[in-house]
Amino acid sequence: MRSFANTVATLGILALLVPAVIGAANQEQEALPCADCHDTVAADFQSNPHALALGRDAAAGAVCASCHAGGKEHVDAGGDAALIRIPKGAGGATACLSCHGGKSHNDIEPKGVHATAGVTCDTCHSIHGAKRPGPALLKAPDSELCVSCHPDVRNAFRKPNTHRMHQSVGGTSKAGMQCYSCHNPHGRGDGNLKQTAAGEPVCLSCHTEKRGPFVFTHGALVAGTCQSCHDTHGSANPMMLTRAAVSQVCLECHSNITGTTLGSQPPSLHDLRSPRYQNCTTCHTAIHGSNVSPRLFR
Amino acid sequence: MKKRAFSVALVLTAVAFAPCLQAQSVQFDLGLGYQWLDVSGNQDMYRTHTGDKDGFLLDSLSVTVAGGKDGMFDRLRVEAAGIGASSDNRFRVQIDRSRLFNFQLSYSRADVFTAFPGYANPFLASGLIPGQHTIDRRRDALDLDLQLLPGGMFSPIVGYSRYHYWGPGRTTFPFGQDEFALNTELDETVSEYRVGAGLAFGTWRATVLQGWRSSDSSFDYALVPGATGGNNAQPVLGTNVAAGQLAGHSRTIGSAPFTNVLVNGRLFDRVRIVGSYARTNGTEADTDETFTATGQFVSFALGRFFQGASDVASGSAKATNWRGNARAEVDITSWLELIAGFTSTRRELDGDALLRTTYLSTTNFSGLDPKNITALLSAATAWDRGEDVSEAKLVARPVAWLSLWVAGAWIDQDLTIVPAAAEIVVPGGQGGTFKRSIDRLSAGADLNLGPVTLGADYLNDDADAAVVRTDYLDRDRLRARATVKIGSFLKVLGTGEWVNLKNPTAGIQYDADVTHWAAGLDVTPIQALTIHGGYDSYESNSQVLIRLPQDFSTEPSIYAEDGENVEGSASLKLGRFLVEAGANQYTNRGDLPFDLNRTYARIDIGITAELGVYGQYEKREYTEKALSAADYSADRYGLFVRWTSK
Repeated sequence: MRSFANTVATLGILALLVPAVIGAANQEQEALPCADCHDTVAADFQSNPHALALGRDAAAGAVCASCHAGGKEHVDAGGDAALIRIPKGAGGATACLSCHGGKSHNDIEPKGVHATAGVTCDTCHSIHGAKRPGPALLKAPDSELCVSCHPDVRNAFRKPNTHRMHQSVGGTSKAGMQCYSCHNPHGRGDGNLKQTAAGEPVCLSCHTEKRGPFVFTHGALVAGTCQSCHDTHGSANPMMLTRAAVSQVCLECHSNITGTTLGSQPPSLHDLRSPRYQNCTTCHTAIHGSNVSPRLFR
Repeated sequence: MKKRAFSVALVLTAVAFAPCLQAQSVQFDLGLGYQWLDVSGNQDMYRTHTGDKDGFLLDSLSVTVAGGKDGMFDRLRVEAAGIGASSDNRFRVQIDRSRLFNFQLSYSRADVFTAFPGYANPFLASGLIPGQHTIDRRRDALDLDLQLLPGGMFSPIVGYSRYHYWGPGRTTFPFGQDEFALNTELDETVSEYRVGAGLAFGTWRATVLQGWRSSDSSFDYALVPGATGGNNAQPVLGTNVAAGQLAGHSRTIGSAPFTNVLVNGRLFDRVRIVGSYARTNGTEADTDETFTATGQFVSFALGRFFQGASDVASGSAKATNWRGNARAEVDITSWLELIAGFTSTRRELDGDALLRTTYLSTTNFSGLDPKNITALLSAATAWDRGEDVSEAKLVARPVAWLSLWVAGAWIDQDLTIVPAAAEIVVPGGQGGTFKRSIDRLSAGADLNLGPVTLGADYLNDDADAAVVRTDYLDRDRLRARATVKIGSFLKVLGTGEWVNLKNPTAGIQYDADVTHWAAGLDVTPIQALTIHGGYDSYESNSQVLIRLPQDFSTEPSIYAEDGENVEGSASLKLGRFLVEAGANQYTNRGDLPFDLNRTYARIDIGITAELGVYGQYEKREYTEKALSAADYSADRYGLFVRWTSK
């Protein structure tokens, strides 16, 4: 009931804020007769999210001019294609980023990994869009675009133990996870992984119960990452673990032979030949952390 | 349940179409129908892998409404999928009006089901499946975000998220020299409020976000009926350990205020500065747990038998995490750029717990000295982890078709752990200060020669120490990619990745290799026909020395994975008739050998330009070489009506 009240209150605040800013002024733009010649593009463009990007009172052709500099000269010269700027490639990204760049941690990085490798805005996005533009004006729906260049990732999802993925990435449902659920294709850094609003690893945005903090934290969460024990794209092993046997996952760290690394030797009596002990998490169930059990039993 | 799913799908459809009444233009796609399953073999395993069910299914819904110049909005987009007989349900609404607002709502529900036959299963040899660790839960996620765009320098942002994770499961609890199977019920709710603003000053942009998160989680557990004997069939010191009753309840309340700041802008024409800072300050999680047990138990710690226990435990953890980054992106010339930055991350935690366990009706191992014993355990823990990363990257594009880059990163990690005495199993390696520095050098090149693109990059990490045994001292990674694209007729793509991780230190001897290469071929001989073929090979071999706990001897822990995927598919569209079909075969010959074969087909017949029907079929066969109890063969059929606007 309290959650419902919170939701209603939040929606109420949102509803109050919207009218408060209605009436904002739109800047004046120079009128250009682009549609006179480019009638097909102009017709399809009406359903494009960019069509009203400059506001409802923007002059005809103003949206075109906002990306295509040199429109007046192009018109005056009777349509000389050399005089109109067509944003493409790395240079074209500058035009896109003047509106789309740097709004949040999960937003567009102009020097991101894709950009450095020559993958620019128009590689994936159809800026003018078609008559039926897809989400984000992508050239191919859903994650098809991603795996069309990353076949290794597509095939990682052919393994039996994966996140429940979208059909385009080998899942069985159109409601499954997409590549962008975890990755920011416009980002930079290792794997272009997203963060939560609190700056945490993206895994915790769904796996909230693993967030902690815990009084007794599994050292792997501190010294490593989720990927220390889990293959997140797809795994041959249950629970998407990096090893087929759970004891192997654990003992590869918890074997203090040299005395210099973190993770001590479990005691004897854990006879790995007995099925009771082959799965360490049979007893250490709270393997990610616990507030009440020093040995992660509960 | 099926009726409910169908009703939800209809309501969502109606809600999505309601704004269309006054809209200027509407585009929609709807796929609604019924799905059947026919699974032989291990049905739990199939559900673990796919989550599919029988029933009505809103396969997909997409509605885009252009509001027109007189509408309340410029564009409204509603998307829904998987409502009904799918493990994942998604619903999303996006409404925006240029220079006024941008609103997004997304809701998802995911079934979280796991029931492996061999995982956590000490009775597998007796044919008892599934294992003792199973879950059958659901996860709801609701996210609302609104950004107001009044123009000028200030754009307010508000957001709200709610996550709910709940449902039954099964686990085990080690107690009194045995492990007992428990039924569990988890109910966790997390709420998050966000308020902030986008700011603009000339070429500078900033986003400041303040959030408040709260969580409330309860966990109940009780002995599985009939599981009184536990997992240990052998008597302990002549006593058959058994539980007559074992049940408990745990509740954890958490809170986490957080701050998130991002600033970017141009210092000069050629220099872009980016700074970010994220902090969760004083994240707290407080747990109270009680459990009671009756039966026959043994405690080596007490040196006594006992017939029951009453336990009260509380724990409180407080953490502060922050991450700050600053970098400069400098366009030195029109073809040369430098990116240099520094990132500092710190995580600090202090925790304390108080555990009070009363052991009832205890006797010593001679059966004498009967009494109740109360054991108190007070524990305090602390850890502090810091990481500083300095990095620089030089990118050159001397000609339009060539990009070259070289980068370096210098990473310093430090970790201090102060464990509680109760955590220490064998002294050594559970606390102290650990430091590790990594020098990273990488370089790459990308060539874009029209129809041919080539790319390669190499990375080397050189570390001075290992914090955990699977940390490498030396890592090499080479990646390459090649694409040949001839118009829309042909695309050939190949990628390869080779990774080697090493720590040759005596007593660790860690050595891991991954070789992964994939190739894809797409041919479109005519516009109506596309053909796809793909091949993938994934080979992983690793070994590291481990100590066996039963006799303290050492041996290498060897893991191997040798996976191969072959796939092919075709799509043909003739007028209002569309057929797609494909198959793939994944074979693993590593430590867990299995075959996973999948065949699918989809036929779509347009009755009119807007209305059509389509059928879907998928066959999925999974076989494990070592555990036939995991095998299944599943046929999934679906029949749907499609309605698409012109």
